[in-house]
Amino acid sequence: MRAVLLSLVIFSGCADESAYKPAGTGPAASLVCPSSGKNAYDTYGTTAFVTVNEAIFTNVTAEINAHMTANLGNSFSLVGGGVPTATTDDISGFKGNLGAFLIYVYGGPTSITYTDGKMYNGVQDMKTAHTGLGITSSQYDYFVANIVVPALTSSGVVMDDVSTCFAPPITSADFKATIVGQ
Amino acid sequence: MMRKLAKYVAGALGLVLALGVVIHLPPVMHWLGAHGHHGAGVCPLGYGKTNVAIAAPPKDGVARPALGFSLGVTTSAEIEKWGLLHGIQCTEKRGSVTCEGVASALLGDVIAPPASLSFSLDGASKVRSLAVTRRGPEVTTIAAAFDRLSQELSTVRGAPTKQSGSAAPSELSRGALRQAMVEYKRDDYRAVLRATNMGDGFVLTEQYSLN
Repeated sequence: MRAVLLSLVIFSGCADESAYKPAGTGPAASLVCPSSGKNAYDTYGTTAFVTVNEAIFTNVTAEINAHMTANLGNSFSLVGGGVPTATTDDISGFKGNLGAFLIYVYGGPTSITYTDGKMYNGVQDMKTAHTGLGITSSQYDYFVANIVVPALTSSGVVMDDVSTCFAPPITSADFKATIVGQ
Repeated sequence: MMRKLAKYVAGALGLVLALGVVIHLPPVMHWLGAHGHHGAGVCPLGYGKTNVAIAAPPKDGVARPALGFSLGVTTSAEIEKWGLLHGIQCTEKRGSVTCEGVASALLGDVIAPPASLSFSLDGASKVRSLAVTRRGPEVTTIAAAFDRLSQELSTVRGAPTKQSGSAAPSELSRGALRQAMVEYKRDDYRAVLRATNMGDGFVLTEQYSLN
């Protein structure tokens, strides 16, 4: 009897794990983090994604204070200017849009209400969002290495999860091509 | 006979002299550098030698290493001259100078991949910070450059003030966005090195700045 109960417990445990079906539909929604067996959004949740997003902007501010636009190009320095049109959003709108994009990509809902109380749609065209900025491959690499990775790790994302369920969209050649050289 | 020989010698010397003048004209040096020489060894008299010591040491004698450039001292005009001398395309705009495809030999490393250099300038057009990005397919090359640079910085500036991850090739290779970082931050100087696995290659970034 005990053996039957034990096998039921084991079976039900296995069934739970294999039954994980992410609710999100973003491109990285099916990537499973080793720490939880779930995708990045279901592992860390909205609050952690907002923390990562804010850390990105904190790191960008520090970068611009130290090196101005030399390493990041115009991605952040023209915010709110409207020329090119990709820079129309002010800093608050930029944060909201990036936060919504990250949440959607990694398995969260298609739209969110950000900390400014406004609703943002995460389904975005990155090519349009970067047109006219002239971002180079070196600037993209620099941004990932010096802004994104530190934002993730300083916000409590463990390295195995960074490599497994966060890295693929960022390091994808197709994704990079939508940002570089536009 | 002797007069004829003297004429030939004088003619040959004149030709060599003219050639010497021509290859040192900035546009010609630029062309030579852009066609395979990369500024390393164009001139036998040493004008194209592979060093970056273009700046005077700081007045207070405290080392603030930045790959041979001198923070707070090197000017944008000196960078332009250095680029021209080595056939490197440097572009100045909005308080910064960017130089692409710089042979690492010019930065004191013979095995690391070519580098992109970004200088930010202060109001007097002096270098306030330098950031370097190098990308290569081999983890060993990037890891070795990271180790060498961090050892050099430790020698001059003492132990790192912050560090994370490991630059051991086996560790960096474990997955995309694996990263090793060391920071040296004391007084008015800050240097940060990061070796990062980009999935399709490895990137070494270096930041040297005055606080």
